[in-house]
Order: sequence, then C-alpha cells, then structure tokens
Amino acid sequence: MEQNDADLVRQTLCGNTAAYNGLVLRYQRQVYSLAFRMLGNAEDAGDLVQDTFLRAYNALASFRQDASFLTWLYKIASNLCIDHLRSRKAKGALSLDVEVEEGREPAADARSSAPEDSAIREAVNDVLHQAILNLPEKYRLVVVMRHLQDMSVDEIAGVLELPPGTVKTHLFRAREMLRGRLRPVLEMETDGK
Amino acid sequence: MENRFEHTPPEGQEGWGAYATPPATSGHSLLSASGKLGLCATVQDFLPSLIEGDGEVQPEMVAAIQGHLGVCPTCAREFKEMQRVVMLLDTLPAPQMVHDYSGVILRRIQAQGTPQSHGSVPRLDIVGRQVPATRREPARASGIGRVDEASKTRSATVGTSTVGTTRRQKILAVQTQVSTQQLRRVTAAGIVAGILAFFLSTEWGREALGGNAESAADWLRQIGDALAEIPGLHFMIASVMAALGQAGVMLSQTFRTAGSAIVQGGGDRRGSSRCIVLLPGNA
Repeated sequence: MEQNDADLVRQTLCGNTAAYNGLVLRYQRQVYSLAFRMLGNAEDAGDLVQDTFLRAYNALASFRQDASFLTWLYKIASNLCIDHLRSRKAKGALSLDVEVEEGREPAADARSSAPEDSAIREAVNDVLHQAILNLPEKYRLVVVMRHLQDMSVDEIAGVLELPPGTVKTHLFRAREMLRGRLRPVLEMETDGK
Repeated sequence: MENRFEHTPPEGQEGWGAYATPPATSGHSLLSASGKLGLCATVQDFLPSLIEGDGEVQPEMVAAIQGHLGVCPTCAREFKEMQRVVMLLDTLPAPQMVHDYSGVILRRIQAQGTPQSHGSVPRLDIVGRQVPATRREPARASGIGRVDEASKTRSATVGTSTVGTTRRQKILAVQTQVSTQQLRRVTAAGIVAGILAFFLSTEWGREALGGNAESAADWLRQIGDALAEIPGLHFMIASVMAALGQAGVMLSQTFRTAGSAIVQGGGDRRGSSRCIVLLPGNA
C-alpha cells in the first residue's frame, strides 16, 4: 500500500532517506514542469528540481502539514525560479524577449508550419511557450500554476502568499498579454474558419 | 428574461435610460475597470471572470452578457479569443522530463548529512558529476526566502522558517565583518601611505632613508613590524607593509639591473613625494 506524504515526511525526519526518495519520485515531474515553463529550458529545470528537493529536505522540520507537501514544494520551487530569473537578469543573460523578437516571427512560424493539424498545433504550442516565457515573472508564475499545474486560484494565493483577488488580477492580465502575443495565431484560426 | 445588454433600446424608448445600467452587482459599475464608459467595455470587463467561472458574475448578469454577446460581434470576438487562449493554455502538453533526478538528489542529500545541516552541497549533473561553478548561479542567502514584491525586503516564506532567518542573520554578520575588515585595511593603508609621502617629501626624511629603495623597503618592514605589535591591527598592517616592502625590493632590483641609478634629483619636493621608493640615487 502506498504511503501518504505525511508518513513519508515523518520517516524522513527520523533519518530514513529512502522515504524522502519516495517523495522525490512522486513529485519531481510536477516540479520539473513548473521549472521548465518558468525557466524555459531543460537544463535549468533539472537543476531547479535538484535544488528544490534539497531545500525542502533541509527545511523539512519546518513543514507544518497545514498545506499539502506538493503545495509546499511549489512554494520553494517558485521562490527558486524567481531567484534564478533575477540572477539571470542580473548577469545580463540574453533576454528571451530578444530571442523571440530577433530569432523568428512567431506568427510566421505558425503560418508556415506543415499543413497537418498536429504540426500546426506543435507550432502553436511553441509560440505559446515562448509567449509564456515573455510574460513578467509574477504573471508567468500565476499562469503556469493555474493552467499548466492545474492549481486553483486559492491554492496559488496560498503558495504565493497573495490575496486571491490579486492572483486573479495577475491571471487576467497575463491572459490579455498572451492574447496580444498570440493574435496572429488567433486571427489565422478565425480566418481559417 | 429581459436583456439589458442589447444594443437596440426597447421599443418606445428614445435612449438607453435605465437600460444603460447593467443589473446591480457587487464590485462592478458602468465605468469599466479599464476606465472606459460604455456597454461593450463593461461587458468585456466581466468576460475574464465569466471564463474563469469563479462565481463572481451573478446568474442574471451571465444571462445578460450572453445576450449581449449574441448581438455584438466585437464583444463576441473578444470572448472567443479569450476562450481560445484559455483552451490553448489548458491543453499545452506537460514537458517531457527525460531524466530521473531522484538518484542525484539522494546522492546530494547523503553527501550533506542530516536535514538540519546546511552545508553547501555541489550541484550534480544527471550522472552524478559536479556541475562547474560557472554554470551555477551565485549562492543566495536562502532559496527559501525571497525578495518580497512590495517591500523589496528579503523575507522567509516557508513555514516558520526560523532556519532561514538564522542563516540570513549569520550571512549578514559575515558580510558586516568582511566589510569592516576591508574598511580597516583601506584606512590603515591610507595612513601609512600618507605618513610615508610626508616623510619622503622632506630632505631629512630622504636622508634618513639613505635615499634608495632598499633602505625604504627596510624602513617599511620596520614600521610594519612595529605596527604589527598593535592588537587587532596585526593582520592588516602586516599584509599592507609586506606588500609595500616587497614592491620596494622589486623596484630596487629592477633599477640596479638596468644600471640607471638616478631617477630623481633631491630638490623637487613634488617629484620626490611621487617617487616614494624610486630613489636609488638620491643619497
């Protein structure tokens, strides 16, 4: 029978690292997904998964279990993502804005992709991924949590320690920004129908 | 149900009158959130909540908005685009996680010891090799705490996070200690340089030193030894004086090898003060 998170946490605090491995195996994909959508590449996402679980392990004694372990992990991961993005910005890393603007035209990609539906969808997904990466951090985090991690507004509010109203405002503004950036795709779909 | 959101006023009415005002709901008014007056703007302000389905829009308002969408192509298009964006987001596939990180994480945990220890554990790649420091971001005070959006102050955000607070205090203490040490070194170096410059700007000073770099270096070493006796200043004074003494010896040797003994006459005060240890032929 599969042990619940609370049992695994308790065993870990008693020195059973195998129990913690169970938590890692259970949640690493969710953390990776959040990190990948926030940071934009697999390498940084992998590093962030490691750091998140290590931080969580070191702070495990402070985990109150009033929220789920996954929510708590998201809190750590989101803070690390923000730290990472700010560090990247401080280092003057190439802006993803520049990559998108200089690298290629998202609309052109979508328009010139293969005629098959799956290829078109793949191109649209790529455009959407880049558009998400171009959102301001706070909006990006909310969009990723709401739509890609399937969290409720209240859960996001708990993780980010923001009022639910603020989370909604961020979410709606983020969607508006995405709509603006996806306009060529949306127009193409409208024209096609 | 009466639809107050249609563009055409009901028969027998010249203007919108009461129909210009949407049904009263908490938190919403005719003035849209975007600051625009107008029915379409008001309707469009409701659309995100309508799509979210968060219960913010009351049922009668939902019906009214839907009626408006049926007759207003602009708002209908807005609504459709918003729905489409949400649909695209909801159906964006999860990224493929190629590696299993559990082994690496376990190795890092075992390398650092118990959960309570907080040593820096090198990040490993997927096969367990240490990731070069250049690829790693600079160590932050705590990955748990972060800069708060509003106050821009660092705050703990996980649980009670007494651990994070203690770490931050320690880091702050170390930073303060380091900056104090740097300040002391700079001050000590400045004082020594000032004394030396003054001393060498005088005739008697140059004579006392014998007018050459080796004497100056010896003199510096002597001063350094004397100052090193002062409690608390030992390390900084010793390091500063040793550096100055070393420089003197090096320059002396350079000049001797080159065979150019005299680089400066004795009369010019400004010149001699600039050549503190460059005085091999000044005796």
